[in-house]
Amino acid sequence: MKAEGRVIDDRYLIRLAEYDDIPVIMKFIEDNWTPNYILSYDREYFEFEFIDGKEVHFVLTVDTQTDELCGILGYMPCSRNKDNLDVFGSIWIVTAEDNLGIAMDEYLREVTGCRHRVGVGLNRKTAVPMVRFFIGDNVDTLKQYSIVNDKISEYKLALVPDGAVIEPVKDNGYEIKPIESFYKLRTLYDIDGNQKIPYKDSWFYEKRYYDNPRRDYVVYGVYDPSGETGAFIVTRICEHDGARALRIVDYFGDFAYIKGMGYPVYRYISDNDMEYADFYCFGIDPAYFDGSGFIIRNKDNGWIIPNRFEPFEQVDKAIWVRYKDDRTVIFKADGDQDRAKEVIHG
Amino acid sequence: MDKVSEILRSIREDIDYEKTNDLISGKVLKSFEILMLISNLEEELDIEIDPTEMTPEHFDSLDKIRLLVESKRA
Repeated sequence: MKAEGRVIDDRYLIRLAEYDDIPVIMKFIEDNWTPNYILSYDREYFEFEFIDGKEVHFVLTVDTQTDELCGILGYMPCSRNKDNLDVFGSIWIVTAEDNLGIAMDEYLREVTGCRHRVGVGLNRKTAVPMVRFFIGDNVDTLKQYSIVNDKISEYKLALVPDGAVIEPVKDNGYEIKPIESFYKLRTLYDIDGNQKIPYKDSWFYEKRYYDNPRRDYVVYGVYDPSGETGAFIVTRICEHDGARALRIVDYFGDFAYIKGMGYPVYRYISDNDMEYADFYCFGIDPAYFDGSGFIIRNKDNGWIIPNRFEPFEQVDKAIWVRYKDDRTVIFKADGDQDRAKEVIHG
Repeated sequence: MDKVSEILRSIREDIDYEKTNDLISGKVLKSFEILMLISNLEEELDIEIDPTEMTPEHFDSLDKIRLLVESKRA
């Protein structure tokens, strides 16, 4: 193990990972995380998620007495812009009984010089208390908005209470159109000029949604009745038992387009016999959804719009996030929350 | 001994909880011990601690933790 980094308690060395560390990190994940977790056995996907040039996006803690790993913290830069660098945290494991998880988090912020450290998919029992007690960041959950297809006779995915009335969304003249190449996307939108927190640049969108080796995404431009577009959505189709749902996993642009996009999304799921479309997000004023056709999840009304498909679970799912700046906007595919769960063969 | 005190002592016996007022801010309890504390309080007392309450203001002493728990059981 290498020597650069920071030593804690004269015993633990915290440092950035290097390329040669990858097999050790994957073995550590195999030994200390969920069985058959994709990052423990799929080297290609691991490298897609965490390698950029010579950078390996992990902070490690090494026990210098045994020369073995006792902590890892993965991270994902939101851009290649070092001046506006924000990072998403990813897999975070500590096996030694000390405050090493917090020390790795501090080291990550220092060594990357990031403005904002945003987390998505925090474990309510472990990461949430750590973030609150030791770092003081805010925590909350993504809000889930959905449109349910009223033309489905038997719902296999969503749990729709008996007697529930599903209103169709009225035509408002808006359209969504697929944007099949990243080149075209860049010509339509000033991606690098956005002012959002976290700052996600064109490199981020191209890598995650056009070059992803394990996920098939479709990006749609949202067009108003005059034919102008000021926003795009990133979608992925989930399937189970012959039924399908459209997941909106990212959004770029003017939030004013949210109100208009409800109708074309509704029309899309109706035309394609999908049960629902859903949209997990945080930091968007709910007023943007007024009149859109999207309904926010209410855990008390008996409806369930499932999030988990690998394996499928018909349960409500709270996705915890962490942030410092109140202007932060987060979506379902941020961080590693929309990562592939298994190798797709063939 | 009350239940909160019992839970704290089950996690760390060597702390004088009647006199210690910086369990969190003074880093007296380590991270793993705090996770155990939250988990045990929620499970054994059948309460849910809101993340906004996970601060030293509510957890720096035995008395503060008791107050928080009592507010949830009232």
